[in-house]
Amino acid sequence: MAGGTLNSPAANGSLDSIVETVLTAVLAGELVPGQRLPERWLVEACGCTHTGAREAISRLQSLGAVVVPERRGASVISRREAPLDEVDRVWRQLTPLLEAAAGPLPTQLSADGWARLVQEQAALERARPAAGDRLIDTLKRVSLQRAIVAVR
Amino acid sequence: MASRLDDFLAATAPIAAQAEVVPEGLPGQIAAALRDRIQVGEFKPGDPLRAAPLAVAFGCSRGPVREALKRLEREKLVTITPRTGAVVASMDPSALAAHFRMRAEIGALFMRLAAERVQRPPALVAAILEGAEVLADVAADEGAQVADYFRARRRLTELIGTLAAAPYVSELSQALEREVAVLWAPMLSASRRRRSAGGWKKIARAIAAGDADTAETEGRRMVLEALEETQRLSSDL
Repeated sequence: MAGGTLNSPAANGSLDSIVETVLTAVLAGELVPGQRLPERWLVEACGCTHTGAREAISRLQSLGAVVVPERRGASVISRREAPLDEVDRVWRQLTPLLEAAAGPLPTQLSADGWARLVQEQAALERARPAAGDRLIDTLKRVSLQRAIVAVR
Repeated sequence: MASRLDDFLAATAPIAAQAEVVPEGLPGQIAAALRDRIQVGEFKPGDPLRAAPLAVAFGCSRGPVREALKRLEREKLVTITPRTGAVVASMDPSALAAHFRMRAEIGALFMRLAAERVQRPPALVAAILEGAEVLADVAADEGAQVADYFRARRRLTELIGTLAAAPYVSELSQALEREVAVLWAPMLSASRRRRSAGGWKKIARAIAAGDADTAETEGRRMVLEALEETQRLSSDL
């Protein structure tokens, strides 16, 4: 996972790696949109503690990758909650705002899901000073959710 | 006047039920109640929200109240610091314009999706048109409560959301709307409500006519107008 990270500097190293493990598993099709994500899965896949798993789930929730309904466990965001066509339209509706403030986004992106996501997130991060936190945070979320529900 | 609103709310409740956000659990209900009170200006930016008295007021323990406050923090309506506890958030003026421009785009898309929808049950379309009329009535009524205006507007949005059948855009739109709740109370003057209701009428007609371009343009314009007004009012302060 040396390709980069989606996390803010505030996140600690081990949490980063748990979050990356989950996201790469999703983009590789090992976890599918809508699938339950029990703490146990994280503990086994990452060798972390239950506390670490809980923190990672909360982090994934704030990134928009995971939903945690009241009194139920976490699951990967589903295509019912984030239909690809709708997510795409939101992306196309908002990127002109970003490009007006920060110039065009790169069009040459990797074909590999994870590498592509990392590139896209990095480009959005670079646009932060010009485009502002709120737009960048929203677009990073949309970019991540689009990557997840686009997995076939 | 209030009876036309009540009739409308009662008549459209079954249709809106699909789109209505029913708060989950006690923390969800407390969060919804606090959000409403922030929106009508009962709690103003900077006001402390202490768990103990709120727990007494809601007749529950402090746990659900704290959970509700955390939820409002995630929605950026409340800031929680270890020393001072929870206070109603205030919106950074520099973030204001960026927020409204984004909301204008999402609102525009939401209206467009409703107008583009092929499946359009006549009862739902009629309810949207009626909702815009009721909203205009409430806006024109000097004696009406701001809360009534919000109730009418919320139902109208639910009905448009039901037609649009776009859960992702709806959720994003609602999240952005919740964040500016702190701004509406001082900004929503009677004249602002009347003008805004005029915009909603145009949107409702465009949606009913399947005119996606107009629905999108009006949806965007309404939010950008609100931005201009908000900026003007805050520069007067």
